[in-house]
Amino acid sequence: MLELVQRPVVDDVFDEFFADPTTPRANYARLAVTLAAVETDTLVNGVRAINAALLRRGVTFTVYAESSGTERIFPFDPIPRIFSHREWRRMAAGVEQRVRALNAFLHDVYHDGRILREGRIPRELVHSSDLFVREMIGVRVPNDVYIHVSGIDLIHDDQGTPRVLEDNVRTPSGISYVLENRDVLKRTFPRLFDGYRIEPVDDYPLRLLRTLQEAAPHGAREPNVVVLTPGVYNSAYYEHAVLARSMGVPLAEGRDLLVVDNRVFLKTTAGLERVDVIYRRIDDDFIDPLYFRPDSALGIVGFMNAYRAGNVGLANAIGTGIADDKALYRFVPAMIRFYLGEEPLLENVETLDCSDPVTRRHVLAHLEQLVVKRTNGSGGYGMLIGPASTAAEREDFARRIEATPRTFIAQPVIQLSSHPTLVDGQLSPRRIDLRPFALYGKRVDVPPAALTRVALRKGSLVVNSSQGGGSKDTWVLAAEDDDA
Amino acid sequence: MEYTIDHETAYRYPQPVSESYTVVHLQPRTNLRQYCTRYNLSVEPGARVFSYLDRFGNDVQHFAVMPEHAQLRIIARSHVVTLPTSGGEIPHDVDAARLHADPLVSELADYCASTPYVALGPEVTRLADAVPAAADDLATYFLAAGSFVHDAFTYRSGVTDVRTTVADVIDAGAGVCQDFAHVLIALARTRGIPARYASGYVFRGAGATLGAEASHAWAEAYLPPYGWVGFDPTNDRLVDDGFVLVAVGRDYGDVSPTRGLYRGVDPGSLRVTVAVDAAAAEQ
Repeated sequence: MLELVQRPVVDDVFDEFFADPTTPRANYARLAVTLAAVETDTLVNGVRAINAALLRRGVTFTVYAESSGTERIFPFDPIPRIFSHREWRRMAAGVEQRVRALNAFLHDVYHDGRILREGRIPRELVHSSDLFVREMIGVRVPNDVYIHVSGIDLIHDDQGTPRVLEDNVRTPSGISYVLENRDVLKRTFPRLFDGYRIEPVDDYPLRLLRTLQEAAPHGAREPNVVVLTPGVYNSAYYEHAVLARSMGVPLAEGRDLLVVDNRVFLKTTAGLERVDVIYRRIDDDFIDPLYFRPDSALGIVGFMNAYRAGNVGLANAIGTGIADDKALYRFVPAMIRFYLGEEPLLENVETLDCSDPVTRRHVLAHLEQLVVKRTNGSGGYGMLIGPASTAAEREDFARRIEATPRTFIAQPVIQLSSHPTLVDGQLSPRRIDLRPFALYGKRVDVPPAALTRVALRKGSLVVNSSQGGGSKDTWVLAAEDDDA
Repeated sequence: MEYTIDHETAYRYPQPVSESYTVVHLQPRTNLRQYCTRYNLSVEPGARVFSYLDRFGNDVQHFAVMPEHAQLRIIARSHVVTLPTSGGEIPHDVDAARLHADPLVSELADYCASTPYVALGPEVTRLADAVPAAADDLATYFLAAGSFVHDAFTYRSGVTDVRTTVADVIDAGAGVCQDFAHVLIALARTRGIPARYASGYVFRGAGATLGAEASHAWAEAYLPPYGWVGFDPTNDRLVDDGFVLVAVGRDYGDVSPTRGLYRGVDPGSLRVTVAVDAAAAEQ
């Protein structure tokens, strides 16, 4: 029998499962009963089988820091995370609001720059960002939508208050794990679902396809969509393939696409086929060597011309990175007020801008208590977790901050909430976050398909797949099941 | 003045190439000082030419030649009327307060910072310190800096190429018009004056046909109330109706006359000829 999960004896951490040391929260009451009756071996063996199957099916990612380029699975944890319908709706509304504001910001910085002229955001911050793509200035995109797919990373702080940790509005990945996790959990541990009615995740590809079709230039009837991947060596190649297959659209590499007379075509065995929308999973820099990195062999020569002319839709638009530059993150609440005239529904995390000399001195003096991140980074690469760092690491970061202050921000260490997780045959509290995905076609849609990442190492606060994290199935209860 | 300009660019490839995509900045601008009455771009082998207005207000053309070809010829013909600069007044008395009071200045951030070809740094600051002008009158400083570049640097081709940055030019002490322009831009920016790169043509006398350097370049500084003031450090003179402006950008990288990519093995060779003729006498 499993040791029935116990609330961790840590005061300053919010526990998702337990309301108090002996009582599970309402969402989890039924699961607690089920878990109490499950044999430990069943769970452990099931997980082992799942992880082996994931590896076999190629549900892997590559860790870039490892020189060998090892293919790894994103370890699966069988204990699901459960949201009440009400809680989910509240968060989804916050995500929706944030994405609308970020999108409005992108349209603004690439056109009038109203928010800069009115001094709400320092122009210097935008112009000094290497994520600001000048080639997009003045370029109209269909429906003025830039951020068709985004992943807004949320955490619960020590009070259980949801906060946005970071916005990912370039090419966020992870949705394939959401689909896989639900699938394997259902097949391996159907009993866990006893007594629950939860929102499905498997219509995500359909919703994504609809979003992409809405990104087509005006007048394209039954738009042809393709998924553009950098290829098999990309860490998220599996996801690119799964999404293309489940949407029923071609998976293409740059060399499969050709620009003729300012229009994009897919090379097929039957000749050239017009492409209306590209769901690209390659970075801005690589998309068109004629305008961006000339050495890119992954992109489509002349694409920018076709795009600028309005002959093809692109999801996400080029240049969205300026909206998730971490130096601009602290201005997102201001964007929400400025563009939408609304109060932010989701809290930010306090953020210190290292380019300000006074703030920088404070940061350098308190590195041990802070988290330092690169402003243009993602995936948990190149960050410093103060309390877990060595003196040598802190010195190294201090040097780098002094050298290029614009490229670093610092945040207080946020105590991510914890959730019971199967570790070494026992349920132990581990820190988690949440990445809901927002789709923006004609309006913003936040499907109940979110990725919960879990830091598998004890006490670790880093949940990124590339940094040794795992993932959990994430349940959103159906409306009428809120009191399950 | 009235000019006809024939700008021909010919690429030759020892082994045929295909799928060549080209972007050109060859169309003279129309603004308060000049009027482009006619512009025609022809391409051999034939290709459909597309045009767009870039963020600097330049008219840009692009085209693609898909079948195999061993030669690509791009011929731009234009007819431009330029107006004398009003009163011929030499810009002066522009102090930093006046510059910053200008409503447009805050939007010129891109012309004040380092750009790929114009990296600001200690070597630029040192050079600016050597400019013989008080820095409180920005207009006088800019013009003095232009003359200073003319005097301090040797005009010599072959020292630099299209990838040369300001630091390299300062190091070499020599370069061509593009390099002179970049240095002057750097000297302006390092003193807080918004400055940009201007490419175009300069009239050098009736019937003059020049080689690859005929495509000219100079610098423009934003100096209210005069607006954009052009100075040609290569010829040590203010830009007047003897100049035809084609394109402006942060530096050469934004406005290179022709650039492109093709599928093929060999680098090929390039020949550019430009003929700028004054048509005024024919009137």
